[in-house]
This record gives sequence, C-alpha cells and structure tokens, in this order.
Amino acid sequence: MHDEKNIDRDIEHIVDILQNVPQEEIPEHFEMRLKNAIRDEAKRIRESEGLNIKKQNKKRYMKIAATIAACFVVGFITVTMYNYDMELPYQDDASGELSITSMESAEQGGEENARLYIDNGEYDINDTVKRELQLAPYDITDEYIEYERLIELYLGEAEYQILSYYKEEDTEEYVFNILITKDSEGNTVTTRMVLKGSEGEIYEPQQDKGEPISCY
Amino acid sequence: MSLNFKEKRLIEKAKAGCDASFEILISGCKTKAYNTALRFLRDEEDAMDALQESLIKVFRNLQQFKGDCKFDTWVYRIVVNTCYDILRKKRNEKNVYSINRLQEDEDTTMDITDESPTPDELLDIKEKTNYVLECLSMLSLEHQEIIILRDIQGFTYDEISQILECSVGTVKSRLNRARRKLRDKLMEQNDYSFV
Repeated sequence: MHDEKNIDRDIEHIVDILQNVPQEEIPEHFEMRLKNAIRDEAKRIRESEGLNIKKQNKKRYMKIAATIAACFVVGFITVTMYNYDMELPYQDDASGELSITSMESAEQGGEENARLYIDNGEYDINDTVKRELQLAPYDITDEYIEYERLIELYLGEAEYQILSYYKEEDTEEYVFNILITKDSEGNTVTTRMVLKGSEGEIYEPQQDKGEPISCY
Repeated sequence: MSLNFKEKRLIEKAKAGCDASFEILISGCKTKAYNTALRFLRDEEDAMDALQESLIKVFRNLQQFKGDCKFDTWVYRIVVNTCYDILRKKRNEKNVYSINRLQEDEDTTMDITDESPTPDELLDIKEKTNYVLECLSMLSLEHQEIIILRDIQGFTYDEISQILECSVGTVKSRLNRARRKLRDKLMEQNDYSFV
C-alpha cells in the first residue's frame, strides 16, 4: 500500500516533468524547404490531374463518336430494309395462261378472271408464287376458317399452302388459290389448284361440284 | 466527426493541387506534428525529415481522407507512423549498441557510454527533463508513443485513440503501464533514487 502510494507519487512527478517539456519551434530554414517540397508535390498533382482529365475527355469523345456511328449504322440498315420492302414488285406471270389475281383484280374482273384454273401442270416455284405468298393477309372470318378446315379434309395427306382467297361479289362464293407442295404419297410437287367454297361445301370448279366436302 | 465548411473547402482545393490551400490546412498542426516527431526521434534533422515526409504523404493521399476524424488527427496519425518506420529502420541499421529484448514486453536496454549527470546536477530541472526523455527513449516504441502523445504533447484520450486506432480503454491501460515502466527505468538507471 505504501509502495503503491509512492509509485503514484513518483509517476505524478514524472508526468509533471513531461508536461513541462517545452514545444520547439520549427526551424526557419526548414519552413522554406517544406514550402518548396509542398509546391513541387502540388505541381505533380496538378499535372497528373491534367493527364487524368485529358484521358477522361478522350474517353468521352470516343464514346460520343461510337454512339453517333452506331446511330448512323442502325438508321442506314433500317432505311435500306424499309426501301427493300417497298420496292418489291407484284407482277403477273409471264405465261399468260396462268393469271394470279389479287383481291382487287378479282373484284374488278368478271367471272373468267374469278374462276382461276390450272391444269394440274407442274410449275417451278417462281417469283410470282413467292410474291403471292408475301401478300398481306386477308381478313379471317369464321366462314373462312370453316372452309379452310374443309380444304384440309379435301386434300387429305397432301401438303399445301393457301396462296390467296377472295369472295366473288355476284355468287358470294369463296375462291381459294392453293399450291400443293407434296402429294398424298409424299412426293414433292409444285401443283396449283383452285377450290371454291359455297354453301358450306368445297369443290373444284372444273368438277362442277363433283365431290364436295361439307362443313354443315 | 464532421469537418467545418472552411476545412472541407480547403481540402477540396488541395486535392486539386492547390499548395496554398494545403499550407493553410496544415498551419494549425505543423508545430505540434514537428514536436511529436522530435520527441519520437530525439534528433532535429530526423524530425524535420519525418515531418516533411509525413506532410507530403498527407498531400499525396488527400483523396483517402474520409472525414471520419479531424484532419489534424489524421495528420498526426501519419506522422506517428512515419516516425515508427524511421525508428525501425534506424534500429535495424544500428550496430553500435547492443540491444537486449525482453520477451514479455519488448523493452530494450541499450548500453550507452556513461554520460549520465551526477546526482547534484539532477536537481536542475532542464537536466532532469533531458534525463527523463533519455529514459523514455529506452522504453518500447509502444510505451514511448503513448507517453509522448499524452504527457508531452497533451492529446486527449479520444484523439490518441483515433491516432493509434484503438479504443480509449486501451489507451488508458497502455498509458498506465508505460508510466510505470518509465518510473521503473528511471529508478533503475539512477540506482532507485531519482524521485
């Protein structure tokens, strides 16, 4: 206990001495040296900041240039594709015997035009056919859907595509232009035919309602 | 700990490379920083080198100052660490003195030539002060730094805890141990009759 008190007293005395250690002033010659060192460091920082800013600016300009270039490319492609679509011609077949009608010509023309026929001759897929496939779809009515079902039954195992259809104004019969791509035996063919739909039945016009298929 | 507006503004300008702003920033803590280095290194030239090195480090690494403590405290932290590095380097280089490390507290005892004052001269306060400082330099770096920061430089416990990045409790217990060690060293060197 007595020792502990002595120790505390001694420590107090030592701390008192330490607390009175005078603060030294920074030597004058050193102040100048320090000032110069700080100035040099500031210059170095400014130069490096300048370099960083230049790099950042360069990056920014590159990004802007890349964005503008990308916009040009996208715009060019869009315009090209748009023009390509608009320029697609729609021409009649050069042979003359085969006339492919659009909705307008079917409506304008008479029955002859309306009653398309093909002698089941084989034709190569030609531009005319391709263009026809690209025609805008007509309105799909319930009636059309039913006749489509009948066509499927009529053609059985054959693979086909309905190229176009229209409704005759006078008779109100549906006329379907069909391209057969495979016959019922699986042979690849390119045969065109016309089917008509009337009063819930499907038939080939040449056969004059030979074996219709009814939806009712 | 939030910085005042003026300090924030000065820091922003200094980060951009304005030396005038930086000089204003450090003007308040420069002298204390120098004295801290001086007490650590006990050599004027070394203290000036340490101060310059520390302040350049502060300037260069301003971006890393987050404002979680006072700017001055951050400066002192860097000064203390720089002094540590210099002292370690010196101790590795020194071949003149023999160093005995004590395992439990890493105190070092150096054999020095017998220039200690006579008991009569010890009555002189200035010499007493120098003697205390001499014995202080014989303690471990950990004990030295806490006594320098608290008893000589007068930092608060909070400031010391931020400089040394430890808790206030640790500061207090370390300080208590360091003072006792210093007292023991004084007694030992002066044949137990110092105080």
